[in-house]
Amino acid sequence: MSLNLAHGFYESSLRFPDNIALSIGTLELTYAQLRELAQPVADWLRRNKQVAAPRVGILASRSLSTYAGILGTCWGGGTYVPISTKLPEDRLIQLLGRIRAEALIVDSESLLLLSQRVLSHCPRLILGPELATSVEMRSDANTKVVVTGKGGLSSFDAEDRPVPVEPKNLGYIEFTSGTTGIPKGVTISAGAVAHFIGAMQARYAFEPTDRVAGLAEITFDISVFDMFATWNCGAALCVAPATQLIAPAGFIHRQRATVIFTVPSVASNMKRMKMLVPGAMPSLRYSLFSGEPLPVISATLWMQAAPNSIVDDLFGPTEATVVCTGQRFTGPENATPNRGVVAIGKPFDGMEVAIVDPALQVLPDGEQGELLLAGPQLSSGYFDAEDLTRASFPVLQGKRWYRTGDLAYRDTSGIFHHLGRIDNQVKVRGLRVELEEVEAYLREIYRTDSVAAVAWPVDHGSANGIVAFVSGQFGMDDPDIRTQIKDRLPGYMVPSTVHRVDSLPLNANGKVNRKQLFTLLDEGKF
Amino acid sequence: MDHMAEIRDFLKKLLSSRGDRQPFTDTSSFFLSGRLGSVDAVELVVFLEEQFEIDFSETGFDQSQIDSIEAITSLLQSEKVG
Repeated sequence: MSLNLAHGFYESSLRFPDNIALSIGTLELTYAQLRELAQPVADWLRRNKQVAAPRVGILASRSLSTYAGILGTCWGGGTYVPISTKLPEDRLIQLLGRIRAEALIVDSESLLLLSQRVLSHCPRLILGPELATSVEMRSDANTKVVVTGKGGLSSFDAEDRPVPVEPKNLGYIEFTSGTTGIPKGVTISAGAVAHFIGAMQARYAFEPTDRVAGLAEITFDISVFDMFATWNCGAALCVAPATQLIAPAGFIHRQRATVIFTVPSVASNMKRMKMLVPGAMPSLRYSLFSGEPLPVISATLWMQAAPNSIVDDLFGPTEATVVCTGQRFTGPENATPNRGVVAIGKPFDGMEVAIVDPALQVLPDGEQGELLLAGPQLSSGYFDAEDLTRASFPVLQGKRWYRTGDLAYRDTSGIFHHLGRIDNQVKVRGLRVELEEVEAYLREIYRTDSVAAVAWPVDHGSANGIVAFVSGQFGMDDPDIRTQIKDRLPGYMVPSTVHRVDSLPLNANGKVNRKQLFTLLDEGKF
Repeated sequence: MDHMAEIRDFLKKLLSSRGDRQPFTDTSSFFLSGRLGSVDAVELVVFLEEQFEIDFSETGFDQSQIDSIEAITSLLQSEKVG
């Protein structure tokens, strides 16, 4: 069987050509129709590519071009690299420089982001699969850049099949926050995706009649499940509008969605907004949560709101392909003691979890240590960062592991419990943020080393935002400084407040004592 | 204080807590423009539910319903408040 990420979609398009594959707003596309859009994109890529597996940036969101672009890239043997359409211009340019893509796929909205400056950092090949005509633009150096539209694509070739790929070929690269201020690219192979999709299908038995509520942006790897697990079994991906993500009960109801995979913040938002009403989401069969700790109270209320649904808490870093452990929620008995959150459960078949001490020696059950992962879902490493890859993926007794930096333990029944982070990586509303990266920007903007970023407030292990501290006199209310931060960081990484303090509290090692700052915030001292 | 003044005041506080002291008009976009985030949207919805008994559980929720003073006014009118 071919491991091309588009292979499952291709097979489904032969078996269920008239099933709905994709629903966006009022637009509904069958498998046959989506294949007719994706295959010409693959053909365009194959005709123009210089290397066997080109990297293709996908600068698009929730549009037909997004999905046809990703499918076409995979079909043509390329590696897709999602790029957020919400990035400030400087960050977008920095990322384009990191990716060095051979091609870029845009939609009609993201075309507007291609300023002269941005175009100077874009690859030569740019495609807008939905654009009626090709568009001529100019880069900084006044060089002509053509964004190819529909007209530049060949007509659909019904005989064409996805290019066969090896398990080690890269399926996608997901860029996440990095400690040094430079985003790091997690490379995921076709073999890792195949294992993940197989494990999910074995765990849930999705059917061609399923309708999956697609909430995740493509820059969040839950979208890998939304697309490929759905299309692998001939089901429908119903893409939620960006304006309905906070509390999607109405969307789920209207779409008669049967599957949702999202972050626990969605459940807590709905709880606060009084939208987690008993029986409100009867169509759901599977409700899957990951990305942050799942509070028992949210899981309980969700079960009542979706009475026909299984509720599962899934866990895994981007470096182990979306998720790789799971715990079915049936009641408070599935909680991590004294934490009020659901346990992360047991690893998927084929994946291994170990708890180790700082010397990487395996600890007995009940003892807390760093959580390590091994198995076929592990990332091939960080893009263009060999040292970081070696440090994060050590080989121990002949086996390759990933150091998650998460603190956890295994109980005597073999269930794993997550206790938080060892380092300063936090999740802000489900999105991964290295606090050091925020601090790196603060240092540069405020021109001082005395800065600290704290994830606060935190509810059941999930942060709602970032609060920053800067020591010294720097014209704190200067709106230019806020603009500078906003121009350079994605919204969720921008501190909601920057406090000026005379000095920052330090711990015994002379490092900034974030814990003390956190406590002061909790006590309302700021 | 009338209903709309209360809502304006609440939004002013939300913006100010984000360091945004720029003025806004009845048509200024709060959420779609990125001036406020999803956490603020939840706060605003909770405020509207508590103050005006707006119930989103029946109709579903879309951020565009609360994106501007104008949008909130028509939401309140459709719920016969204000």
